[in-house]
Amino acid sequence: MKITPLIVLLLVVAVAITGCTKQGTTEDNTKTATNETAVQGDAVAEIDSSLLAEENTDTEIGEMV
Amino acid sequence: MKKATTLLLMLAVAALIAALPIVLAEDNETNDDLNISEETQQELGAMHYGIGPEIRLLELEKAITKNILHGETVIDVLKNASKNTTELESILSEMKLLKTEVQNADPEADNATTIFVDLKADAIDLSQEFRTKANELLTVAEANQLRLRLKEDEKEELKEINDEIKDSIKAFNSEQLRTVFEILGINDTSIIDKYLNSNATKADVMKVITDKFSSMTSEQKIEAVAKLKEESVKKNIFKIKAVEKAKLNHFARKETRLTERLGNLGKFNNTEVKEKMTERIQDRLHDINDKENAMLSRLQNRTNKGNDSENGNGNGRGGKE
Repeated sequence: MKITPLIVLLLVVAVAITGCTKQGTTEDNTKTATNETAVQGDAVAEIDSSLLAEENTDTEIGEMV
Repeated sequence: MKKATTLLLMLAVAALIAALPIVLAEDNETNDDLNISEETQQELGAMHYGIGPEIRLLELEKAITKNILHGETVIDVLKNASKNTTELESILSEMKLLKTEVQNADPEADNATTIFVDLKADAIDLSQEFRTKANELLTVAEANQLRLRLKEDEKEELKEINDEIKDSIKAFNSEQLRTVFEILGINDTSIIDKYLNSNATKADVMKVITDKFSSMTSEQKIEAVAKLKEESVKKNIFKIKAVEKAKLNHFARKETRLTERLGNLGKFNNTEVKEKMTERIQDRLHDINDKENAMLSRLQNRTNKGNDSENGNGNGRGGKE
C-alpha cells in the first residue's frame, strides 16, 4: 500500500524528464537551424561586402566650392 | 573533429588579427600626421586582389578630373565678375599635374597602395585649398547656385571614365566570384560570364550562391564559411599593413613629390600662375622641413631622457636616490 504513491511519483518524474528532454531536443534543433541560417546569411553578406566591390562608388576628395 | 579543427583555426586567425595592430604600432616614431580615413582604408582592402589597384587609381583619376572641371567653371564665373583668380588657377594647375601623376602611377607596383594614399591625400588637400579660396571670393548665394550647376554638368563629361570604372569593377568582381564559386564547389560558372557581359546582375549571382548554401550540410557550410573568412582575414591584414606602410616616411615622400612638381612647372605658360605655384609649393616644402625638424627634436629629447635614466640621472623610479 505504501509503495503505490512512490511508484506514481517515480512515473510522474520519468514522464517529466522525458518531456523536458524531448523539448530540449526540439529547442536544440530549432537553435541549430537558426544558427545555420545565420551562418549562411553572414557568409553571403561577407562575400558581398568584403570580397566584392561596390558597382557605384566614388573616391571622396571633397568638393571645389 | 573536423568542426573543432575549423573552429580552432578561425579562433587562431581572429587572435592574429587582434594582435597585428599592436605589433605594428610598436615602432610608430617615424609616423606623422598623415590621416588615413576609414573610407580610404576600405578602399585599400580591394587593392589586395587582381585589378583592385587599377580600379582605385581610376576612381581617383575620375574624382580629380571632376574637380578640375568644377574648378574651371568656378574660375570662369569669378573671372566674369572681374575677381583675381591667380591663386585658384595655380591650385588647379597643380591638380592637373597631380592627375598626370595618377595616370602615370603603376597599379602593379609593390607600393601601389602607398602611391594611392599619397596622391589621394594631395587631391584632398588641393580641393580643400581651392574650396576655401573660392568661397572667400563668392557670396553664399553664388556658391549655392554654382553647386547646383556643377552637378548638372558633370555626368556627360565623365561618362568615358565612368564606363571604364564600371567595366573594371565587373572584371574584378568576376575574379572574386570565381574564387567564391571554387570554395563553395559550384562548377557551373556561366552566371559569372553573364554578369561580366552585363546579361545578369550581381543579385542574380548572389542568388546562385545562396541556393548553393541552402543545399549544403552543416559541416560543409562551416567549412565554406571558414575558407571565406580566411579570404576576408587576408584582406584585412593587407589593409592594416598598407596603412602602416603609408604612414612611414610620409614627409620624405611628400618632399619628393613636391620637388618633382616644381620641376614640371615649365609646362605652364602663364608666368603669374607659375610664380604663384612655385610660391605655394615652396611654402609647403618649408612647412615639411619644419615638421621634420620638430619630429627629430622630439626623438632626440626622448633618446636623451632614455640615456639619462639608464645612467641613473632620470627623475623616474630609476633616478636619484
